[in-house]
Amino acid sequence: MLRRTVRLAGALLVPLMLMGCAGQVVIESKFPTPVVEPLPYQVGVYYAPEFTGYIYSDDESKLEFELGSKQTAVYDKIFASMFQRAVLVGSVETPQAENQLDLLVEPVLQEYAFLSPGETATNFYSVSMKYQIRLYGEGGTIIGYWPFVAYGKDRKQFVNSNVSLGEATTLALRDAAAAMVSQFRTVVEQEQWRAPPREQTQ
Amino acid sequence: MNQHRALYLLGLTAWILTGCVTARVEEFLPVRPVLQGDDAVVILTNRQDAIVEAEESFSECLYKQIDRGRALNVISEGQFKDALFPWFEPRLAPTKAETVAQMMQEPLISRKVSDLNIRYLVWIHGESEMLNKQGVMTCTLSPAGGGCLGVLSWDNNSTYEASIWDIREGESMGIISTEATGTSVIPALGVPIPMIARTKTASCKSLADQLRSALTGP
Repeated sequence: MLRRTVRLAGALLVPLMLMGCAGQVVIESKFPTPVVEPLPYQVGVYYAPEFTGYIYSDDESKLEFELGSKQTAVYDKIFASMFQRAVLVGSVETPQAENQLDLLVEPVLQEYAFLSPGETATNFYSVSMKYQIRLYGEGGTIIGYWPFVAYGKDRKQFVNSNVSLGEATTLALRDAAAAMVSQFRTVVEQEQWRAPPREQTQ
Repeated sequence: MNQHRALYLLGLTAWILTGCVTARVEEFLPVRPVLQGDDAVVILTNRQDAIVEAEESFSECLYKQIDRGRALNVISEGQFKDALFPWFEPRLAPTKAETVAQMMQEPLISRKVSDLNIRYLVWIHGESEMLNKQGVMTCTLSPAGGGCLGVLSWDNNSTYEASIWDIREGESMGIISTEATGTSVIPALGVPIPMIARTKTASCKSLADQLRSALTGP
């Protein structure tokens, strides 16, 4: 009887242990609408295909997950609530005056990175997402940019560590909204964006 | 008779499988919170510390314990943070009660807070740790069977504190803290028998009881 119980426990335990290595990274795709007074600007928003279709993949950890639609979802909410009017445009060269736009912006994800608990000697997965918000003038000339890094962390989970990575990424996307709503607003209001490097203006 | 015996054995097994836990609660509330009418409370996890952060399971346990019996109007952390998105994300969440008063000067934010009838914010900080791990256990598993031999033991320590803020007045009411300690043992002679000291659950229950009585008054 005892031997049978142990065999049964083993049969249940082995798949459970293997499952711990193979779970999916699930990132939230629905975000709440930011509570913010809209700025009196009409903006055009351009998402490059590499932004909307961004896929994270790493050969070493054998991880691959889709991030593009998730970050597009959060930026849709941000721009729609931050500005009086936000419209999607198909190119940075979209004529602004003709379309009654005051500004044309493009979010760019420059780097997605994470650290595992072993690397930070903590109990958390930490995610950082390095963004640049580019501002364009007529004809698609970059007039400025605003860089920022969004962070998220989540406690490691015993059975499936990828759940923690997904949650930390979701929190980083929420942090991007926090940065945009609190800081980018001031950047736009006071025109505090950085001048582009010389080669980008040409 | 057999029924009594089964109940006795069940009780004995439950007692054996649970390690001993000692829990202590301390309260420092110079200003007594007073909930009136539909006033609501939100339990929030402090996520601004890089190393120490209360586990989601602890916050969920606390929410369920306080919400039990519906004696209090408790709003979940998720609902609150979504309703006030993104002002209570770690980057922007107030670190002092006085900062909440400044935040409430934003008409959109104060309207959301008043729509939800929120009176008190309860910030939870702390964590559970496993310390002094000792012992050895060897397990084997093969198609013919398996088993374990040895003994493992460790100390469990759960330390949490709840800071209560009055969101309307923008002031701190005080702190309730709890600490629970215990030793967990897993002896194995064939089958491991875990006797886990559930300090997190003990901390959750004692903190929830103290919070409920502090918020509902004598």
